[in-house]
Amino acid sequence: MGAFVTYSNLMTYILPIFCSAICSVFTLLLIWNYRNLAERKLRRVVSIYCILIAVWWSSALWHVLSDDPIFLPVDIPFALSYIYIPILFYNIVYYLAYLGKKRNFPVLNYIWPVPTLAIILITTAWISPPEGGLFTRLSLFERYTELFISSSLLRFITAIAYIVPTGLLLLRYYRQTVLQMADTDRKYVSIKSSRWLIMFFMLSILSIVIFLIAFLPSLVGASQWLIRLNALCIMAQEILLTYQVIRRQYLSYKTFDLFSGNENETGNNGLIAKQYPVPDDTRGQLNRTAFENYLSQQKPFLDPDFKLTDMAEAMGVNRTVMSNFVNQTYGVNFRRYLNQCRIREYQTLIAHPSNEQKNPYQVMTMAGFKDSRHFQRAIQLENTYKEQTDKESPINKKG
Amino acid sequence: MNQDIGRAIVFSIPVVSAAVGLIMISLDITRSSNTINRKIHYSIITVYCLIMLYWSGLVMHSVARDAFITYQPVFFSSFSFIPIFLYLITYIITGIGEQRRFPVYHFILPSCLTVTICVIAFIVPFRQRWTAIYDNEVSLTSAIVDITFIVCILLSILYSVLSLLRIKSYKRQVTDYSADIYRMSLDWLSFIIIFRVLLQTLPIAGLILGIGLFNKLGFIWIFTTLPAVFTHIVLCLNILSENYVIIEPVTAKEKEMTALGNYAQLGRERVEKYLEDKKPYLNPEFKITDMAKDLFSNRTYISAFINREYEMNFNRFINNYRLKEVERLQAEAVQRKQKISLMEIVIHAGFSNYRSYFRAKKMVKNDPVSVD
Repeated sequence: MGAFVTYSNLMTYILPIFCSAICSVFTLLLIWNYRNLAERKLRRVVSIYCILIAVWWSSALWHVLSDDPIFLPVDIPFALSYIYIPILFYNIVYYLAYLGKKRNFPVLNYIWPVPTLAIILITTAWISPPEGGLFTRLSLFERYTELFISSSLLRFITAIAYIVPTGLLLLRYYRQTVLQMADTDRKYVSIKSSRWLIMFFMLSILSIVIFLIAFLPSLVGASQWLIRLNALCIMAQEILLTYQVIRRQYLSYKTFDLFSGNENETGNNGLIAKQYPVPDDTRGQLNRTAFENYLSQQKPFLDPDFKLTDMAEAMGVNRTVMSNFVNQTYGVNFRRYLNQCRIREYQTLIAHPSNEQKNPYQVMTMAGFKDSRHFQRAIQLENTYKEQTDKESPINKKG
Repeated sequence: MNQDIGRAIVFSIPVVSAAVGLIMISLDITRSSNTINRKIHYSIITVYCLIMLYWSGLVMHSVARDAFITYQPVFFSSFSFIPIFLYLITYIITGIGEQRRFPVYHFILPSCLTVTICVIAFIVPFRQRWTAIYDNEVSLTSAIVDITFIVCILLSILYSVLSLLRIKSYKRQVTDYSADIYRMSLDWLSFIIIFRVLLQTLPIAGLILGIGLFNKLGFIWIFTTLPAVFTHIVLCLNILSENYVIIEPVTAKEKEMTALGNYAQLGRERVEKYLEDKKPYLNPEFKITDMAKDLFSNRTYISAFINREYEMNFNRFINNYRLKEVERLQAEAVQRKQKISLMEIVIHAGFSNYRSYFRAKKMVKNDPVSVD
């Protein structure tokens, strides 16, 4: 059993190393499969981030294995990784919360820590010269490294310095996406992406805090459980990040793609638009009967990816006109109107005798819902509106 | 002791990679949009669970020996079920339009093996099993264990061959269905299967040649786990990025259409006008069913028509249009004196990525049949 105990103790440190190495392999494999340069950059940064975390944990492991606290050659990558992890983190958030502005990540972020830290180290070494005897064997450089390792505050200098701008960046991004929610089509994507980003951010703050508690032996003894918890946080954060990067759950990629298309090929798109066989009689005559006829005959809402722009194209108007039309005529936005159609379709389908054997899930997909989450959301929304109107109507009658 | 711990740590790499894959796939499961995708997700989750069981058995084998003896039936049954479930995934992905359930008889053989091992676990006393596994004495129990192990390996090789055959027949069908070169190639799946076969032959060779696998080879064993880790990562990555094209089964409506013969007859002009006006090929996921829907025709007819008239399959046909679009965009960029990277142009021309563009180009070069 002794072997097993040693094994599980070691695994506390080894697990995060493996996990981050695996995550970095994931992103490395993804690098060549990119849609635009921003995406490739993001993926590269994520893989470097994972590798650095692996480096950091392996040097922590090294320290645990060898009981010599003074100086080890692995401390150099250790120090560097700890400086650069928060900066890379900021960089990742920068790329993720990227709203169409084509600006590169300022390189200055990567450069400043090295001279700053060097200055701090040199001055501390200058001000408080080490007591003779102990450090005579070590070279000057080793002494600086030792200083850096021993004073835990220095280690967190970049981590703490970068929490604030990262948080600000996320806040701005979140506000922007809330503004964009008025833009009906992208609603779902933006909410989703910002939500996981916030969770990601919280996890990293949590890991830093736990780490501060765990590795400051002055507060509590370095507890195994705290280190485990910290490892768990970091692993969860990495897996979440990698998953979302694989699934392309971020706006940057979409916006970028859209913009580049519009800018580079406006003429081209114009040509395509001209070539579309737009029936002349429907152009500009957007009326209720034509709209409803189209919906009831063609049933475009059965396609889960049917969008406002598709509808506008079919009716021969642009999207703003289309959106305004739906809003004014039915008093709901386009998405909700579409979902109402789908719910109606679902109700008729489920009542149909031929669908008796099918389960509600299949019928739901037949009615054009993308998945059960969309479906439940739509139903919930309708129910809440119904309740609201039910509440309001008696009041109105009284009044 | 130290060597045992080292071995255990090495064997836990695949456990971690399978766990990461498992978590990611489970995160993805709420998002899967249709029944087939959900089926794939569930079977992948099963595969990862089995893989985790299998490798954690190996970890126990080196560190917690007593636990391993009790765990052994689980270890063997997971090992025998992995190839079946991988084949199930291949079966779902490469379904050629027909709606058939996965035959249950595939599960019979591994269940038999599991039962055998369980029976041994019940009959043979603990001490004897311990010596059968850890000491190199030849006894009836160790012989049976070895034989089941060999049968498991043979089973996995057999199923790999079956999967490869299925992929081959699928590839023949899919060229007439989709035009997404990258997604329909399923190279990753064949890669995983072939890799697994290679990996499986190693232990069997060791068993037959009588090498004390875990003791004498020492550090070489580290490198045999890494390919396994790599296959886990590739599997998860490709499932998450949906690198496969599923041929939709022929719907009742389509069948009716074919039976009655009331679909539109096509002419070259109509097809070309449709493609040039609407440019549906700009969508990387453009399929023959989309074309059939737009032209009010049916897919067998269109595929036969393209084969006859243009003497190429649907895939070639559509990709030729995309290549022409790339040329046109390039010319336009030159004309406007704008610098647009080839990457962006390729994406805008409807290729899903750079690789499919190169493949399309190579295909044209190898067999130059002019488009017009």
